[in-house]
Amino acid sequence: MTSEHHIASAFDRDLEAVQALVVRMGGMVEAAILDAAQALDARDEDLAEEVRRRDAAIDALEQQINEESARLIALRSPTASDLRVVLAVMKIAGNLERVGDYAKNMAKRGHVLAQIPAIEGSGGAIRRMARTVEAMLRDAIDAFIARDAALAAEVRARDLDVDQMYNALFREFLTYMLEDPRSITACMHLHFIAKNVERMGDHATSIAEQVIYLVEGHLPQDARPKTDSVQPPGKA
Amino acid sequence: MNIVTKPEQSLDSMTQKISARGVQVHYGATHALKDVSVDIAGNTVTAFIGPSGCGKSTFLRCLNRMNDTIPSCRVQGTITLDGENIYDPGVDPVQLRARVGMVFQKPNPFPKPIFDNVAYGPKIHGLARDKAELAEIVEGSLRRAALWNEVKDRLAEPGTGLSGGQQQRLCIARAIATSPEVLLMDEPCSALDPIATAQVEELIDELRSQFSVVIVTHSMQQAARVSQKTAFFHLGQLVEYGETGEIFTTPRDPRTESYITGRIG
Amino acid sequence: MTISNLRRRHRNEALLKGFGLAAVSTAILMLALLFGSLIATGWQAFTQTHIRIEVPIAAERIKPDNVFGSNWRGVMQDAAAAMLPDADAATRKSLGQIVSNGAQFMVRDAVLADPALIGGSLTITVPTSDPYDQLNKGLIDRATPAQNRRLNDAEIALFDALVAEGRVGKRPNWALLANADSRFPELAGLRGALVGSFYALLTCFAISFPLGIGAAIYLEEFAPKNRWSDFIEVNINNLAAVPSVVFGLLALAVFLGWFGMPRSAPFVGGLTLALMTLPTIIIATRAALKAVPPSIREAALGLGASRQQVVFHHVLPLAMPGIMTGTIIGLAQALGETAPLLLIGMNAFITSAPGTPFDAATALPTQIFIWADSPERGFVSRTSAAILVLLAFLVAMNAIAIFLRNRFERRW
Repeated sequence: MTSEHHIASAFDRDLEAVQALVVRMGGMVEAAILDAAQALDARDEDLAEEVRRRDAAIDALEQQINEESARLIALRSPTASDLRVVLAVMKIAGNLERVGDYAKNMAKRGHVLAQIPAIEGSGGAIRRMARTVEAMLRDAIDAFIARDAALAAEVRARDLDVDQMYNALFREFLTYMLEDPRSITACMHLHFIAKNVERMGDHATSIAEQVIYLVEGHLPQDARPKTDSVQPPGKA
Repeated sequence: MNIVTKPEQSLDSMTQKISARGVQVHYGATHALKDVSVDIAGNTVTAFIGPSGCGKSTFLRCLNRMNDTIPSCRVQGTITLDGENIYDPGVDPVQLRARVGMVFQKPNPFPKPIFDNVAYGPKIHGLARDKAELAEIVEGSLRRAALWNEVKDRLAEPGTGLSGGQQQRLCIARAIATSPEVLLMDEPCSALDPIATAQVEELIDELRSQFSVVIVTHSMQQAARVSQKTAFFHLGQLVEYGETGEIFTTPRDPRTESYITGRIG
Repeated sequence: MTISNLRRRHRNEALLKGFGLAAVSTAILMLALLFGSLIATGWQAFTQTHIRIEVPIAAERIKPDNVFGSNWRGVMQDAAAAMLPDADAATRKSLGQIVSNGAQFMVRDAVLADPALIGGSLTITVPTSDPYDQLNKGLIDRATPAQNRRLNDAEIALFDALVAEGRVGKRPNWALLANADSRFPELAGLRGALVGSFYALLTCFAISFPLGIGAAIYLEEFAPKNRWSDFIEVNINNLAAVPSVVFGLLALAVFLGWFGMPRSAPFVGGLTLALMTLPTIIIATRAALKAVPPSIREAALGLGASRQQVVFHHVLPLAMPGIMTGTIIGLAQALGETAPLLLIGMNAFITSAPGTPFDAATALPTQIFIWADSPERGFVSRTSAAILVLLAFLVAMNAIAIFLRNRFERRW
């Protein structure tokens, strides 16, 4: 009685199409993250400029996904799992667009940072953080494609690492700024960049949560693991 | 990127299969249709929606001159099929109905064998030279109606012995047996259960590649699912006509919006 | 709703049921009375008293060149007399009267079939004449005074003597159906009437069926719905209610008077019956055509069938069971019509079955009418028997109609 496919094959095609858009957007955003981090580390102004340019395409894709989802809801009246797919797709696209914006911001700041003396090791640290976040994003999108709730839960747990990396960087930049006031400008920019990457991790976690909603029908019940330094003093 | 539901920007450049201009219909003293002008494109599914008594079925029946059978009905205006006016005195309604087929609300197969049901149209229009060709036409029509596999072993059984959904697909097969250019459907799924409805809608989507389909439906959701263009009728007038996705997301006329969101009857 | 309301409703319902039961019971009682009286008077006619008699075929009685025209009467008289060899003249005469007048022709036909019998003797069982048939069936009361009786004591004694010899017995009366009409009840049969009725019904069917269906199809499918067609419809309904004797007068004046058709012919009878059956068939056909759902017509029209094709390919075949039922009922009515046939003279006394529909003949109902008027005692029971035969045909035809209707009833 149950089947993988709807009797109306056009419905299947529409759903697959909109999900394919999300996957494509995810790929573009992953590339943006890695390239922005690379540009920062290598002080490559041209690469940074390209990342900024490519963000327009990411925004356009988000708009397209929203329009297609609206059409799907209006024309197909999806229910049950079909409805959750469409809602999840819209949320995921929104998250991806924000991540894309953070990557653009990173590239902008990277452009500025290239003009002033570098802080040693900072580029590498941020790059490592970026790679972790990019892996989280990739796994979240894979979990979405495969409808894998276990993988999504695991992605969620990795946000803890990202937070810890951010905390470490925060303390490091503080130390630098205290030692050498000339480095304050660079450290401020780097701090904002690190914050952005930490926010990217939060968004990837959000995407993973949407995957769990899609598969299980509800958002995860337990609170997200959090260790950013906004916690009151006394907690690590 | 293959998005089937993407607005077909090439729609306007497609050949207009049927053009109606200034169509007025009177039933005795009642003015049922007021000044309707619309273009039906080829290889498209066009849906007519609207509340009860709005004139959509009346207009549909004008397209194959079925209103001729009602004595008190008067039709004015022009309706052209491929450029020829179908209300021209020289046009034979019998021949017209071989080019413009019709499927009705309640499945109405003849109480004859399934084969004879589908073969009737080709027989009376002399479309088959011999028995073998007739059998080919029947098989082809039943295949295109997605019914062949279910009935190929019982072509001699009466058409009335099938289930509701199968009967309606048989009626569709019967209508397409004369190779019409346009297929008119008057609420074809209203007597069917949801699964049979979905099967018929899928069939309509497949038929789109060979015919123009015009479907009258009182279910907006069906119009949304099945059609590429939608026309909204209200109180005998054509209120809005446009691409289905736009009508259901951003309709231009407030009356259309009220009907679609369920704010008027 | 109060309790008394409910009680009143129940009481009314019980009253209604009671009325219905009483009405049905009365109807059944009447029917039982009718059948009862018919069977009581008529059952005797289904048997006929026969007597076994040895008939010497004396060669001198037979004309060699005209066996047919020989004095068979004399042969029969001799044979009858020979039953009591020492009878006097009066007794011989009585003996001769015991045997039916038609017995001589039975002997003649036997000899014609087998000429070897000439010179020999033939033992044959022949019907007795009507008075003795009545006597044997106990319908002549022996207690009535002799001058009021049909047979006097001597004749009765003679017959009893023959009965004692074992010559007499009752046999099924096949003559009732096999013979044509006759003056003599023991020889009278319904064959002429049956054939006449058959020809009349055949003519009636051949004319009224196509005309009736054609008219109904035209009125129902093709005629424009205006004042004229309403007028015609009203008139057809009225025609169905016109007394049948009026049609008889019409036939007399027009068919026999103007057109000079042969009198008493089943063909003319059939024409008259056709006029009467036509409204019935038209009305029944129209009802059957109306009962075909419009969705079938629409489906056929939508495929591009012309009006004619819709009617003849789809509507008519589906309406046929209803049409057949109406036709059979109409014909059953026509079978029993008497007044118009009387007026065109189908109550003549005709002793042979008609060879063609244009020969003079009677019909079943008119034959009953004739027999009812005949003086011989034997016709009393035969009239009732003939009525039973007519009723049997009517019941059979109606049963066929009901069978057809049930068999071909469609559920849409």
